[in-house]
Amino acid sequence: MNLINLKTKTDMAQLTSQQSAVLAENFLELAEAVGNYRMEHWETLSDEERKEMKAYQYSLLNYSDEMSTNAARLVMNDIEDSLDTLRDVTQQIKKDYGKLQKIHKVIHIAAASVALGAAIFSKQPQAIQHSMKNLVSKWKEEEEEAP
Amino acid sequence: MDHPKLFPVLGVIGLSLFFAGCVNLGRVNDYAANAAGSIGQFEELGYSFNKACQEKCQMEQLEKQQLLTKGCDCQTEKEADSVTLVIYHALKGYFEGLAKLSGNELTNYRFNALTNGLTAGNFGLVHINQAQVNACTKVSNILTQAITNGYRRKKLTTYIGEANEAVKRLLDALKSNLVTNLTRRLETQRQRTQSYYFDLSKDNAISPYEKKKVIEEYNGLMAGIDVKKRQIAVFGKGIESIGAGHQELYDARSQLKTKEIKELLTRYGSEIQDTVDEFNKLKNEN
Repeated sequence: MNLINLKTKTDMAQLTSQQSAVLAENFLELAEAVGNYRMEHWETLSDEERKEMKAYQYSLLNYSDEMSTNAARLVMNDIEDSLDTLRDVTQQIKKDYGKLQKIHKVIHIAAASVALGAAIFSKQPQAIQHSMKNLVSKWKEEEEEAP
Repeated sequence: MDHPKLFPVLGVIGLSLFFAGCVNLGRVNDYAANAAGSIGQFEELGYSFNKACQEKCQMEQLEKQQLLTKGCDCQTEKEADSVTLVIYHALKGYFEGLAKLSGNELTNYRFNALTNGLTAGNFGLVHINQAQVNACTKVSNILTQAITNGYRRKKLTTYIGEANEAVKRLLDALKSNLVTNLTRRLETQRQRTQSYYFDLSKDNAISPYEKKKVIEEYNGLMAGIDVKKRQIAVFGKGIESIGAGHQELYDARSQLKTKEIKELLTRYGSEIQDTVDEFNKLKNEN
């Protein structure tokens, strides 16, 4: 039944992703040619020939499937370094974003300071007292959260 | 001290700093957020190597007119899906990180915190008018922008530089796995479906009414395969735009302030958004 003596799975593992993809495409084109021939010459083919050609077509399609899947798996061999690099960069970005969130807390304190400034401008003792308390509490929050 | 005179001065300085600082980070943020959203459509494809294997298995059962007692062996397909998933997560994580780092969440959060602090506190007899509240808020915004924008721009420049080669290779790998290899699996399934239904249509034991039903079923299946192929193709176009946008960002990374980079990123952002819209239209057809 096998038109082509396909290598074993172990041997296939030695193919590169790109080689597997090229083979998959070749098998697909052959399968299509067989399938089209079978449909176009349906009336002139015997039942036995129709069955045989369909079996050929399906085998070729299966080979193509196996090669396509293999190509997708083997791509890992080509990209491991890139994956590591991108993971490292992403980790650094996350770390920096975390730092920015801390800066954000510092700014929160700055905001409380501005509120205190506004209260001082307003010359209202209660507002000053309130804003001062708020600033102290923000400062304490920040200190408590610091590692 | 006469505070009404101080606030306008601070406001003008602040607004200048604010606009000078945030515009370009905003563009990077738009690009990265679009890229993360576009890549995220991977989860909506609804097709995988494992699904292709299951469909092939179902077709084999129909051909043999037998039920498989042991189920389908789709182990290698599951492995291919795992590889694709790893690539997808790495890229999505990166673009989401880029979007967060260039985003404006800090500004919004601070704005609310300060406004609440000034208006909702127990101030007793104190009256601080709205203009003063707004001025204080602006001052606070300026402080954060001044501190974080320079830092973020510097860091983004470094990260885009470090990641560019890896991003390119991973986008290529994702595109190759989906647009080339998974689409080919759809094509083999299309050929199997065509052969199977062709034979049924030629079967003299089937009545004309049943043949009509067979043809309807065939057309429905072929249309479904076609939509999936187009979805994957549109997803692939999105990947290309993301890659081109990142390359432009990389090439101009030391000039994150220039007008050109703003325009380029706007163009790629718009291209990515077009593919997202096209993808969503196809999703509704499916």
